[in-house]
Amino acid sequence: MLLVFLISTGSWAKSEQALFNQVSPAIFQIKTSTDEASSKASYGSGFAIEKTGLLITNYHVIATSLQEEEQKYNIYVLVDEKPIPAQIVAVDIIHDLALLKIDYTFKRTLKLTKKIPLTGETIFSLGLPKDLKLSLIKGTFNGILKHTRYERILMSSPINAGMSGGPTLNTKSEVIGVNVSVLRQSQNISFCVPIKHVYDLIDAYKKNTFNNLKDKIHLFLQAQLIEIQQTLIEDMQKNKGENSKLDNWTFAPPSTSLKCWSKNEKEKNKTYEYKQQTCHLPADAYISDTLSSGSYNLNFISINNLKRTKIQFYNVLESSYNATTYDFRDEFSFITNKEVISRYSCDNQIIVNQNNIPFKINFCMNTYIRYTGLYNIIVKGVSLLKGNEAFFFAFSMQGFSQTNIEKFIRHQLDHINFEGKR
Amino acid sequence: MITLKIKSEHSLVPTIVPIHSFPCRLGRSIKNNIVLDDHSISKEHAIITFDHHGTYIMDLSSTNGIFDLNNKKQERIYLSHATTFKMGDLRFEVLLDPGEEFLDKTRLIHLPSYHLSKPHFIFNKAFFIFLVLFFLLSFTAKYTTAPIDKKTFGLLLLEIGLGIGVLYALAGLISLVSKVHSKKYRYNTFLFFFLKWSVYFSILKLYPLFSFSLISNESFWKYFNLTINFGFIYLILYQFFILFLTRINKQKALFYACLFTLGLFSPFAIRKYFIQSDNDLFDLDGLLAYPLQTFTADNFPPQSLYDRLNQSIKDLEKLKQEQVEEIKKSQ
Repeated sequence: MLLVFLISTGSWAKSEQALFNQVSPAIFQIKTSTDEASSKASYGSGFAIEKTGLLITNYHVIATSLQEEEQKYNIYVLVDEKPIPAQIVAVDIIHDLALLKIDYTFKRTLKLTKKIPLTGETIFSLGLPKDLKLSLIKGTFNGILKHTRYERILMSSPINAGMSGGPTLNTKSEVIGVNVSVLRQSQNISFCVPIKHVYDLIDAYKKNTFNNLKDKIHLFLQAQLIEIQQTLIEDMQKNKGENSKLDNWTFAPPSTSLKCWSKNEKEKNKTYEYKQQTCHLPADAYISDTLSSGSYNLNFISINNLKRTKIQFYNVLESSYNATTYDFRDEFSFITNKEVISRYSCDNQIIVNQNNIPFKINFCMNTYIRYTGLYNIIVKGVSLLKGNEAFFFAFSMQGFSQTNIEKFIRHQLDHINFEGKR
Repeated sequence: MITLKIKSEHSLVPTIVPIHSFPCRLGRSIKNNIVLDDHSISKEHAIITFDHHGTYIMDLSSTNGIFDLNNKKQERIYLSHATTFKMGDLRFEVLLDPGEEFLDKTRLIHLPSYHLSKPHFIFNKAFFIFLVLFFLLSFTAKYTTAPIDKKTFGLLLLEIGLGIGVLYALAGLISLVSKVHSKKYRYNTFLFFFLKWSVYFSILKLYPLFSFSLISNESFWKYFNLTINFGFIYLILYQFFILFLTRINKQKALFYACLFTLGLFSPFAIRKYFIQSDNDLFDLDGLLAYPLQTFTADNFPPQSLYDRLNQSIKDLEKLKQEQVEEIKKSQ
């Protein structure tokens, strides 16, 4: 019995080493920099999937080569410590994947599998953490998180920066995911992209979907961003469940893909109280370090007057409303992002919704310099009924088309209703 | 011989003083021919002398001056029988007495010391009005922001009490430093300071509410290519204006102060008080009008919002074009 036990652990340990020896020749460091020798670079990992020189990595590993305008950034795959220039041949900005091709024949490639491990199974993530050395990190598979089209495998694994783009394998040395991110201020919570999306990307590549990618890459990215925002709107409209409620106010139920939380508070001197519900989509499409798209969040607050006069209560509404300001109105953040994002255009309007509730609404929008037809918008509004109950809402949307912005606002506004005494 | 009948404002009995020698100096200092021991009289107040036109009294740059029958300040008044004039709080009537009574060269006139029992500014109407105004303004500003509880009310009273105390101390300090140690001077200085500072504090307190005014609106001045923090300059100019006016005419100064304060209101900017004000400040306004306005779906259809969205998008395309040009130029 003891002997069996020893052999099991021994063979286990041996298999990890064997796994490493088997897969490491197919995993490489990927460097994005202005030239081969430059130390000003960003590092990630990637792995070979076809001997003809095809590698998979994350989009965000090579994003600088696409988004940086001032200097030309190149992608290099380090094979035996020698930098070989790489070309992007396919890209999926929604799932943060990129397919690269180098002029090199791989001796070994990795096998992919669509089979999903069971929760609790051991998985192995490989890559070069912090520009050190190709490492093997053992972790646990903890399921899949899905928010509309955004999908991530949840792992319990201490991976680090630099390992992005590297593979995560099951015990059979098959790739189940591509390392993508870690959760900040957490203990070993990390994520990888399910391999299903790599399959989709390779398929699209083989079908010549990405023809002439080099010249038109931003058009492809734009098309993908348009796709995701369409999915988000459809997902929002899908939810036909019961209306959400805050005191006597009802409003559109948030999509089940969103994460929501509530807060109830009374003002210090108990002259008014408020109940708040905030929802956000815990995923987005990374465009660059300073820019992301394809996401939105919602904020609803119902405010009740307890002891104030009408004018004093209105003062509360005014201060809460005016206190909600947004980052991209800030001139400073605009200056640092002048080449990627436009200036904002703001306006306001008073409207009465279909449930006869008047609102004062302010909005500010801007757009991307490189992509057309997609806008970022912040909307805030407050009810103008004269009673002791008021309703405040604010939402921000990143990367939506004009039609969908209108659909979104209509959907939210038309659902807001007041069941109290008017 | 000229006799002066001197009567103080609050006494019933006049004093008769004959003038024998010319020139005859009048004032508070004992070096004068006629010593007038009253605090409203300067040390060297006036001189009675004569020229080829006749006998006259001349002001020696006194603090309170000489005022004629019509209450107009005069440098020089020719004296004849029954001429009346006023110096400080004392009223003079001239009697041309052909009598030949000779008296001593100098006479020390002691006038009844009414000033000790004279009530001070506590009962002055203007002071009271300002105190109430200032309090009301502070109270209104505080009231619109939060319910008034005992603590807030107490703090408000303390604030005003301290304010008055500081002003009084300031006025006292100034009168101490100045040459005229007159209680009335102190009172005048105090009133003047109070006038100035109460309006100044009123502006500060209500500035958030008044900040829409056309005069203190920076955008208005930008139109004339003047980028200035007009609010601050306005306050400074205002203070000099008041200073200037009080020197000339104290009553009018009060009136002009009120007018200047009201200048903060501007009919053009009253708009801001309505919720609809079209501004890109991204804020909610309309504190005053809120209880009065009602909104109906006919006047405010939802489509108007979507039209504005549309317009913003068109503007964005323009902005984007401009930016792309800028980027191309800088490269």
